[in-house]
Amino acid sequence: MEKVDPLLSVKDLKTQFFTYGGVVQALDEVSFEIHSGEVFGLVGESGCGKSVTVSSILGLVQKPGRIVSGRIDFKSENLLEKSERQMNDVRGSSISIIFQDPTSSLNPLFKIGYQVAEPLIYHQYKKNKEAQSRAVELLKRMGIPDPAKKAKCYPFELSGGMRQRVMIAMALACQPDLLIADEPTTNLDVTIERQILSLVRELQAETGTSLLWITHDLAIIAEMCDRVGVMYAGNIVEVADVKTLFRDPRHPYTVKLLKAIPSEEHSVDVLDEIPGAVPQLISPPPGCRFHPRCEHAMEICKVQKPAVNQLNSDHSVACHLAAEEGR
Amino acid sequence: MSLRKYLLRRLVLLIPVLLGVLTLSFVISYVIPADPVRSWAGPQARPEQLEVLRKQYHLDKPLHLQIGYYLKSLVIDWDLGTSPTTRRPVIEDLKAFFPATFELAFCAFVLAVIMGVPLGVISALKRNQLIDHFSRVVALFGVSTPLFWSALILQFIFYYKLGWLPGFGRSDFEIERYTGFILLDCLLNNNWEAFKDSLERLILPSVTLAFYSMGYLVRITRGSMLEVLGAEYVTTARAKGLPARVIYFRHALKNAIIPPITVLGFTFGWLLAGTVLLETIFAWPGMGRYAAGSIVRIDLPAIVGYTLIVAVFMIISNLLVDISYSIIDPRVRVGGKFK
Amino acid sequence: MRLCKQFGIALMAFFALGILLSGPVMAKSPKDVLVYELYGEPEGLDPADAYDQRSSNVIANIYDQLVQFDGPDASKIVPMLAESWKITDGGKTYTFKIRKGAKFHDGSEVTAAAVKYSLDRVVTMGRPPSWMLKMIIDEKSLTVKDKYTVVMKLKKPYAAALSILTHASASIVNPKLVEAHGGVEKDKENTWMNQNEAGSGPFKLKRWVPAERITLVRNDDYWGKKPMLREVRIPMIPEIGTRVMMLKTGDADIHDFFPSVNIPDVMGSDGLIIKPQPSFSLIAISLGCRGALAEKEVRQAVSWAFPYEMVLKYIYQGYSKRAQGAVPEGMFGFHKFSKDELYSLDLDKANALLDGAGWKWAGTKGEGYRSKNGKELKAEVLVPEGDENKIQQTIMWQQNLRKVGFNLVIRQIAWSIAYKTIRNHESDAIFSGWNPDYADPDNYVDAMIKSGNAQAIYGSSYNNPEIDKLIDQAKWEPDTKKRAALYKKIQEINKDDASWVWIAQNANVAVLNSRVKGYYFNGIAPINFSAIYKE
Repeated sequence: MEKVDPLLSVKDLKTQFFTYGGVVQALDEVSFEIHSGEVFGLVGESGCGKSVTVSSILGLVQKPGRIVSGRIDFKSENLLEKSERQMNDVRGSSISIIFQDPTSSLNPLFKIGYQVAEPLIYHQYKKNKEAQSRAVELLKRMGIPDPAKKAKCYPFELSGGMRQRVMIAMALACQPDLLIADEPTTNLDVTIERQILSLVRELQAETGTSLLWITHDLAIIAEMCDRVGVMYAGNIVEVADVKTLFRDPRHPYTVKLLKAIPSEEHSVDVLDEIPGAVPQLISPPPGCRFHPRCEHAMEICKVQKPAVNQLNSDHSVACHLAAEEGR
Repeated sequence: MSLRKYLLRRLVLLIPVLLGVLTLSFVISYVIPADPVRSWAGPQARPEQLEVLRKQYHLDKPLHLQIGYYLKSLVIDWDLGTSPTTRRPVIEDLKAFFPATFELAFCAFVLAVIMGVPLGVISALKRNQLIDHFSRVVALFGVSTPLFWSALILQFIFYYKLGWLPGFGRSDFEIERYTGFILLDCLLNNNWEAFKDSLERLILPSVTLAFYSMGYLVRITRGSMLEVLGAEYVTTARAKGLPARVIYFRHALKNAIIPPITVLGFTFGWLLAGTVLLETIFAWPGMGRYAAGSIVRIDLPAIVGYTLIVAVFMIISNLLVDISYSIIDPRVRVGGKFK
Repeated sequence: MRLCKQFGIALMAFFALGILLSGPVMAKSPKDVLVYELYGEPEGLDPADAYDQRSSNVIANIYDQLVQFDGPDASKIVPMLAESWKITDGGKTYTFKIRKGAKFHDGSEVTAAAVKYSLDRVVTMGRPPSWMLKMIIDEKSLTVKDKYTVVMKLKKPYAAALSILTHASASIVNPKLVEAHGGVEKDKENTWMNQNEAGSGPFKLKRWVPAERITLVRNDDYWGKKPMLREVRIPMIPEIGTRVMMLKTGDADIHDFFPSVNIPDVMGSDGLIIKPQPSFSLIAISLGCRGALAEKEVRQAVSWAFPYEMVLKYIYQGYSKRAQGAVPEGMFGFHKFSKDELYSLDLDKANALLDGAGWKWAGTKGEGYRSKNGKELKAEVLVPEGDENKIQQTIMWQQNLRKVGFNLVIRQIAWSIAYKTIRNHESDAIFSGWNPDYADPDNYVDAMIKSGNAQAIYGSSYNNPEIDKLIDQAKWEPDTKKRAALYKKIQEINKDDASWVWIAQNANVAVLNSRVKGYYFNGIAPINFSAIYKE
């Protein structure tokens, strides 16, 4: 395999929230890479730290949170060393994001044409008219019928699916290198979801933009992604290309996750459940954060945090058991 | 419905409201335990004089007839009656006093907005920092300080002690009053010195009023802004890498401005009604003094005239606030352009 | 950083202290412009209509009358528009010779026709100030004999007729202008005349901006002595604090009828002179002569309980004289009582009178209040709301009355409401007084002591037929000596009747900038701007 410098390289990212109740250790030395042109999925339960990772990448972590240590290399530059103004240049133009709820993510008081044109105006210093016509083109590309008219509409006048298309148009306006999608279809009904997914696939193929797709839905991972990272309680526990992950999951959590979805391969009467609950991150369990719920937990798991073990070029796991098995 | 239709409808609704205000004023004046005619004629007048006045103002007739006479002269002659204490037509008095208050209200309003809204916004952005505490103190003082006290203090310091600003009146020059708006009139008189003088005289009362109105405005703006800053579209704006001023002063502020606009609406209405203590201290011939004087002397036509004018402007003020909601927030416009 | 902050605070404190300790900034106003402070706004400028002092102050300077007082001396009447006059028919007929060459502000001549027009107008319009002229004339009384001669035939000979003619209501107006703007209508006001002027006086009305200011300018074509001032500005400043500031900074030159309570504010100020002048204004308490006050002895008793000296010293700051009776000092007909005759604070006398009248103490002497036949010794007095002077005096009186077993209830009331109360005889006493319309004792006794007006104006049931007869007699008595004797008798009887508690004769305290010269007050006439000049 060619070793090209990855587009985005997150190394040992540690983000914490200093609250009155205590220090929430949201991200515990998270590391992963995204290559140019690939679709990387980040999967995990609610509260595992997916959104915090995204905020950290974009530099949008709000008080009382702070990135404590680590690096985020984007196009060979460490984002954590950039000033606010420099980050502003990156956001919306080199890295953009689509949010989960298009209704609340769009400003209700501005026309959608304007909101799509905004990144063009401020990042590419396009004049208003030019930006507006480009915005209309984008809307057309997103499959929105009668785009010129719709550009003059307000968000509340559009359906949920259309709003999400608008968000995508907005995110792709400046042709970013990396597009982050934070559970963009979770709030949409199934048919719309299908449409959005196929649209995104089309666009990705067309533009070659890298995609960081956050979800808790493994089905989407299977459909959309090239590589996947599994997150649990602020740690990346397993990274693999998508086929490998489904075929040969190594981390006990991943295994359990896969078992929890129904599929044609093993039909079950009752879905497997992962016993226990996601740990509280103010005082996370010592050692491996999964060990209280892991049926394979060993003594070492309770005391030492497992290091990342590169099984092969496409597969890494952070688990003592997997490390042992791999030997 | 279109803007025109909407405005027309609201203005037509003005009429029943004014009728109600009129009736209420008459009823109240009727039941107060005082003899207005005695008050008008002075303590040394003889009984015959009183009867003449009584007849002239229809005070010997029953209440509904009194209202009838008033309406007749209002609608047919556009005459609000003659004030028995100033001996001038009430319309002339209102034409003299209202512009003075309007000018002052406008200046105070503009100052309050210019000072209050940005301060509220910045306090929200820099929450719990020094500027936030400062704005909290300013707001508290603004709201709790009695208006007449700030007026006296400002007058004392800036007029009496420092001599920086004149502390009374609207103008020291002989100016032909074409419009009643002293600044405009100075310009119409081609008198630049007078214009500067009148502008100086506007400063102390406007600042006093602005400071008072600002307190509540700052807090409301700050609160509303804080709420909006937590909204998701603000995060989106940030994620789009927009400049800070665009994020806060366009995306956030436009959403946050609705509660402050409500406050501004009734602040302006209140300013237009006049503040008698302030006007007394600064010798400003405005609606406050006119109203207070009319009440003390039971000047019935003046009281009714004043009430009507203030009611009209309050309604217009509310109308403007409603229209501004519609302009700012498209969701309020249901079924087309305006609800 | 810390040092910076401390330094900054110290600097601010120093600055603030400097501001507090420094004096006012003195402005220099032009020599030929007078800024005169009024304590209110004129109600109107029509001589036939306006009846308040503020209006008179302006009217007197833009209009002329037939006759006037001799400057500071209010006991002498001298020619004005009337060059000379003859009194015949036992005081019933007055023949006036109008001076030639006197012009109205629009250039037309002042003639006898104008005089007749002006005085008839007052009578026909019948507005509040007309009662004075109506008392002595009607529409048939005046005849024009020739261009410069007018004859006035009184209904009955009245000694103070000339005095009435000095009043602002008897001003001579320009018939041409009045006719051009509404003319004369019976019992109706003329709105144009209220706002404008048709005079011939030493000053012209330049502009009246309602509630803001009145500006007068010198009449350069004046027939008489031309004023030294070019312009008089009268700003309307309602707040006394602001007016005081203006005096101190020199933005205002003169303020007469300055409230006595504020005198300490201006005392000792650089460049300001405080000039107290006696006026004819009386401050007194009218007793309703009903209920407990129906008895003469009770009224006398309460008169012995009033703290006259303390009030004069502390409330009026020593500027006012003691009022002795219905006729003020300085006016013809004044009777000076001896110290023993006059009421003073003597609780023993009060107690003696009440004992004698059968008012017994409830329990032991000095406890509770007296009563008689089941009725408590009680009365209610009305005091104008907000008038601190009067309120304080009444409280002092109340405390003294309590010591003699009299329950005085004090009720503060807005004057506009007071009238109804008065008319309905719902009050037992009112804190009031009288300001003169013209300088004649009849003006006083008629209003205050004669039964009809005592009732109408003060709501008092006082009715002494003997006094009423004497008042009517004195009103028309042509012989000055006889007249003086009548007024002496009237005052003596009234003192015994004690229908009034006579307190003070108010002083007109004027506060002037030291540059102002020539100001005088003769006790009754409005301010005369013609005599004033600045250095």
